[in-house]
Amino acid sequence: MAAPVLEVQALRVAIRGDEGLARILDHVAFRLETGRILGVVGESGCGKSTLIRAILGILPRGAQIGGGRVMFEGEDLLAFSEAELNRQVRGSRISFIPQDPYLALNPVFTVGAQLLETMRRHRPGTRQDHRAELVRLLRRVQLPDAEAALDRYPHQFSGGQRQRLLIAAALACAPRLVVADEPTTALDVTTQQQILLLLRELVEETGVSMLFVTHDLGVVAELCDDLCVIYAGQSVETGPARAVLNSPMHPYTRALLACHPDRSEGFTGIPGAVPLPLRAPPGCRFAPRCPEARQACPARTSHPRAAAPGRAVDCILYDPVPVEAVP
Amino acid sequence: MLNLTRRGCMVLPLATLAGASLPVQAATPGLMVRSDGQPQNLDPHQVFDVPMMGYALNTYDGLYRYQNNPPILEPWLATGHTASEDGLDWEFKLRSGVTFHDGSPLTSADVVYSFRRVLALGKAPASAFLPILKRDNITAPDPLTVRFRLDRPYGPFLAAIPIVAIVNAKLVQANEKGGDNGAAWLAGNEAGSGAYSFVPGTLTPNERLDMQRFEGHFKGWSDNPSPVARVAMRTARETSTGVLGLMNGSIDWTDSYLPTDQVEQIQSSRVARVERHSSLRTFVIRMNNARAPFNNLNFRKAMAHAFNYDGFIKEILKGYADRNAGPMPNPLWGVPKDAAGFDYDLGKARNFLRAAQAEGVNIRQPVRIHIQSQLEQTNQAAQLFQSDLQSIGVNLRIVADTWANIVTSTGSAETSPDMWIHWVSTYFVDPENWVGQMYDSQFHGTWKASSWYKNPEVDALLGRARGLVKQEERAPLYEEATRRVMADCADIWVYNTVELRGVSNRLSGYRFCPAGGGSELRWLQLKG
Amino acid sequence: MAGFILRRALLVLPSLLGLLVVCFLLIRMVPADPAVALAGDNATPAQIEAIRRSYGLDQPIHVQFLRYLEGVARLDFGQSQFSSRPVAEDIAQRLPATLELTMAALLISVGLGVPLGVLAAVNHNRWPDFVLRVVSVAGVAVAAFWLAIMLQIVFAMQLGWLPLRGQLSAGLTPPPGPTGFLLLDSLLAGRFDLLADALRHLVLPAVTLSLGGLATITRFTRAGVLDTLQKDFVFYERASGYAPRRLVWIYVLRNSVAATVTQIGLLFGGLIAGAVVVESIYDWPGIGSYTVQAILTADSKVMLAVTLLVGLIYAVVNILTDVAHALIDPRLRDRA
Repeated sequence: MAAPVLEVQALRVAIRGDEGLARILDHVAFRLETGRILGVVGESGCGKSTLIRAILGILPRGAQIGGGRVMFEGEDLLAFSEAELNRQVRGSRISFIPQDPYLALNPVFTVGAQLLETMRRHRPGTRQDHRAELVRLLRRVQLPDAEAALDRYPHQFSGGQRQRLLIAAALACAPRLVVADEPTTALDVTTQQQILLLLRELVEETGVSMLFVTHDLGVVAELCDDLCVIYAGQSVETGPARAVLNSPMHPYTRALLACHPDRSEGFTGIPGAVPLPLRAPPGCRFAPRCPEARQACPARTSHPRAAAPGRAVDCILYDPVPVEAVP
Repeated sequence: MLNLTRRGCMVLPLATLAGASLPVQAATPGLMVRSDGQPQNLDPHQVFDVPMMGYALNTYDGLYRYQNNPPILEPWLATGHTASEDGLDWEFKLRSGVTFHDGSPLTSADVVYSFRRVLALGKAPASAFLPILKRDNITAPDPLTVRFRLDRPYGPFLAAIPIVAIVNAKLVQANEKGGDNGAAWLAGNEAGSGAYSFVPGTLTPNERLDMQRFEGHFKGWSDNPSPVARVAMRTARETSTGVLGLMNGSIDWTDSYLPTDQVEQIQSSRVARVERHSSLRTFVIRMNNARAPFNNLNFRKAMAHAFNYDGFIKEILKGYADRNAGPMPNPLWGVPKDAAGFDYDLGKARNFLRAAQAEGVNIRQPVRIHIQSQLEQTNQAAQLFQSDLQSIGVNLRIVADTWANIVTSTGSAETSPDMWIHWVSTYFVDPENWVGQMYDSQFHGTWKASSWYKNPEVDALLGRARGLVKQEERAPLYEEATRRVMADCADIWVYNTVELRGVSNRLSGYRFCPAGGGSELRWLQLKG
Repeated sequence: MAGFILRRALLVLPSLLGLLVVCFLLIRMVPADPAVALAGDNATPAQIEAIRRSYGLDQPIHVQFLRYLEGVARLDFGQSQFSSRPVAEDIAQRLPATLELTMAALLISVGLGVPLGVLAAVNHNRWPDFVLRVVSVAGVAVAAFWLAIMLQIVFAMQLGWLPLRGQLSAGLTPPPGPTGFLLLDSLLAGRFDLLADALRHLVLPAVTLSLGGLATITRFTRAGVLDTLQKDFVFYERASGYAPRRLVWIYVLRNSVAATVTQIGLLFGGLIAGAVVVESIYDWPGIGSYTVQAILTADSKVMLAVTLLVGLIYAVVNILTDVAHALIDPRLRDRA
């Protein structure tokens, strides 16, 4: 197996607020192999955006890392200073595709100015070189009239066109990793399909790795090589997308797939509600809703176990039975 | 221009902080900076007020001029005059060899032109002459003689002669436009013969103008070893700015209405002093004699006894004013020495009030006093009055107003305020300027006669005095008229002004004359 | 854009006419009779009547108004009743001083207020933000005349660094032209001594005048930047590794200044009004002090002309504000 481009290890993030400490991420762990697409799946509020922010080093004010490592090409990003992240990582080695193309572009600057800003900082070469490269990329993402597009303003494009712009921008500095935050949610279904197809092609063409965060299992099935399921700030199951979707191991994953054979969104079939980070139960956070919960679940420390080749599950059911255990 | 604004007074004590420091602005040699106001425009035939005198006494000359304190009328461009027995014909002989600033000689033609121009323009300086003098009755039989024939005898005629500045007739005529008598041109230029000349191009109206010494002035400069070479007039609108400028050496001369609380501070500084001189400028609280309750003598007397004269002068004005119990300034002739006037006595005030009530006066009816909100002293006087009147049961309401508004309202007895406060300055040094124009009913409708006082005997006395020429004949008539006006308690007369002007210690030789407030600069000697 | 400006400019005319009508009526409602003031302290009623007639003050008000309008149409604003000079000439002489003062004040307000507002926003709820919040509240609350006199006492009296009053030292003569703007004319004439002296005189009045605006601009910029910092595109720009300074001072700021630009427009009118106090205390020879003089002497031609001028300035600034908005935000351009 090739070396992972990104490996998140036992990551914990908490935010101190007026009401106390909200542990948003409470043990997230996964690996992203080079050249692959990893889907990170979870309901809204499960900590997906915090995860992205932690990787990019742009945590909101009051947030603190409670532990763990974010290994990127062998280096722990959590040990980077703000200046180092800004200079060497963001926009250059790791690029970002935002969720809502309508809101992500600065409305008062031309598209060219914004796209060139990143290249100017992170890519050698003259402005002409950058422009030429950008035009090539825009053509590649099938943006009509690529040359003139650079001098136009964001509001003069449709949503799908803007997402193509942002995809081109993400590739402009030849990154090692693209972090995509539900990049198709804001688009209509037809456009969604085109964009997913485009992303797939681009990953294959360029060999870039992609972390694809979504709440949509359908999208995962279509796009991703691997899968990481997150519940309430805890990664519960990881593995090859197809394997996990076909035979889910964690009770949460199973519940998720069971009540949604069509693999669309929504989690209403599971009794109870996702806990708020402020009042999260101790141990496994899914335990209160879990049909197979044990007495020991609240006392269990998160620890993913290799449950099958290439797969890991973080659940008491897959822990090795202790010798002295009494049923 | 007076500028005792409330905020100026409030903030000024802070200037004490600055008092300790040395002057920081180096003075320019030969240059003196004045912060007193400029006239509205530079034409002495259009404007006649204190700022104009501060300008025109230096740039122009008149036939006669007031000098010293108390003022004496001295021949100036004239060498003397004669008047006919009936007081109708006046002849003035001119000094020879006088030249204007442009070098041309000043002759009787210029004098005739100047007086005719004053009449034609009909503005402020014309008031004294319009009722008694026609254009064609001003003549010049020869280059050094001017004759006037009056419509009727007018005693104050000579006293008013200094009002008219003599302008260079040819120069002004050359700049006439559309029959305006050169009014537009002279408003921004100068055509005089005075000891100082206006420097062209230095005028921003009401802000700044420069004057420079005129070598060729007819009085010569032999009596002044170090005259001021150049005068920069830089109007300071706020008193505080003027005082601060005086203390840091950037201003050499303020207006002559310093607030009394500034005197000590300036006196204690090493760079400047306060010139204090008794003037001819009375402070009056007017009562509308034509309207209830002021149409009752006992009520008026009650009011006159209820004003705390000493308290006002000693406490509020820090003693910088002289009690003046009648309408005429004390130092002037025509003042009856035996008239005592009214004192502050609330007991007497109560008695008179009771008497007025017995005569059917409604003393509970609130009365209104109008103050000039720009002039803090009028407010202080009104407030002091208000508290004393309250203690005897009279309800006084203070109304903030402006000069222009009040003067307009004095056009009729109905619109004139119950009471208001003002000063009567020296326009010409003659009893006519005070008792004459204030209490002769022929002047009803002007602000000066706004107490609407009417006494046929007083009218007759004043009329007779006006028709006589000799001072010794006129004086007893004015004294008698004044006595009667005081007995009728027509107004509340408070004080005669002590003018207070901040002057830099660079300047010496200051001479004060009530006409013009000491703004004649010819005497001044400048150090450095 | 040109069509837009033209349309707006044409709309200004009726507003100014309305302004004139209101102003004309208001001035006539004040009891003060200019003829009385003109005639001087010792005038007889006949003299006042004659003056009233010669100035046309005895005519019915609509006749007076139409006559005035006729003059205005020929750019003749009449004569000041008191200075006997054409009002236009007086204003032309004084307006440059006021414009120099207000522009300097505006420059300080904007030049300091925008960076301080950004600083406060970037340090939201940290000490620079607290300090600036206190200072900007104080800046709005402090009365201009109090500040003016304090500055005079400290800088002109105690320290002696700056002149107390005026536009130029008494011993110096301003250059004769050609623009009437003292700083500009000094520069054009190569008189750097005058320029330096004039700049020294400008400091205290401009600082005094700028303070209220400075506080306003700081607050509005701070609020604008705070708002923008919450926007998705800022996160995207940070995630894209924009240089932090360029991110804040270019990309965030330009999005945040819409409210500030509106304020600058409003402020300009406010500055002209504020100039009345500041010009009085510092003896600045501008239209502020001229207007005060006119009001005290009931000089109606001057009051009308100044009202018209201020109205015109407001209108022009209003148009310029809209143009600035359109320049800043391309979305408005496409809408217009």
